Amino acid sequence: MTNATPVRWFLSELEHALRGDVHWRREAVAEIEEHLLEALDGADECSEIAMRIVDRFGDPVEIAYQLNRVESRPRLRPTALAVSGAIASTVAAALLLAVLGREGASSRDLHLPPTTQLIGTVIAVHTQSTRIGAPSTAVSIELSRVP
Amino acid sequence: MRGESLKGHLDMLLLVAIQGGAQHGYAIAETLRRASEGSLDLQDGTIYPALHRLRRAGLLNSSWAEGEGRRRRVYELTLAGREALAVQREDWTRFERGVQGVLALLGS
Repeated sequence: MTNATPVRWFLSELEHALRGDVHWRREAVAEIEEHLLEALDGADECSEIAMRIVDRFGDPVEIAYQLNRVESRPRLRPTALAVSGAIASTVAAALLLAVLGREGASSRDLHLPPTTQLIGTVIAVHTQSTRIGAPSTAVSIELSRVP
Repeated sequence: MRGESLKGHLDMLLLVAIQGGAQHGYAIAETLRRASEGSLDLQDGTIYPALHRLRRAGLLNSSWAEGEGRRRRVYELTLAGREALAVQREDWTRFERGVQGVLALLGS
């Protein structure tokens, strides 16, 4: 520790260990500085109380490491999670339908939503036409069967 | 409760501490300390990465508020945060009931 107060030492260590956008780093330091000053409640920054508050706060490098990890992850909002989940399950169901269709099962028997049936039929027809070299008009014929 | 045991429950504790309205980090830490009567061995600094993670996950909103000559970042629950809290609270209640059942039956 240098001759700085415990609080200033802590904030300096934190700032040096933070990575990423300058604005974000400044705000992270400002937020934690505010916490420490509020905990001090006007006590001398060089006091024993200040030392205890900094001790209780934790290791600045470890906190910076955890903050860096959070900030470097791609942001996934609940709506984005729900949409990607819905897309993934629709595609998975469609692939299943395509496979079952090749085995002779009817999509209507599976009670799948029309969108899933449509995607499944397109995949199945595309697979078949690719395999036997059928012209692309086969797709429109097959699609006409989808309700 | 020791720090390691707390890790899995920190999100729920933070969400429940904020559910009453927007709060800043220091107030959240104080709320947890007071409500747990000091039994949670939680270093104040550990709440910030968790708060930032919950914010990025869309469970919290944050904004800067000024008052009493201070500028603080405050957090509040989003609708998704309220829903997540309800689910986590239910999971915890089920878990606690299960442990209590085992302790009551086999613990003596």
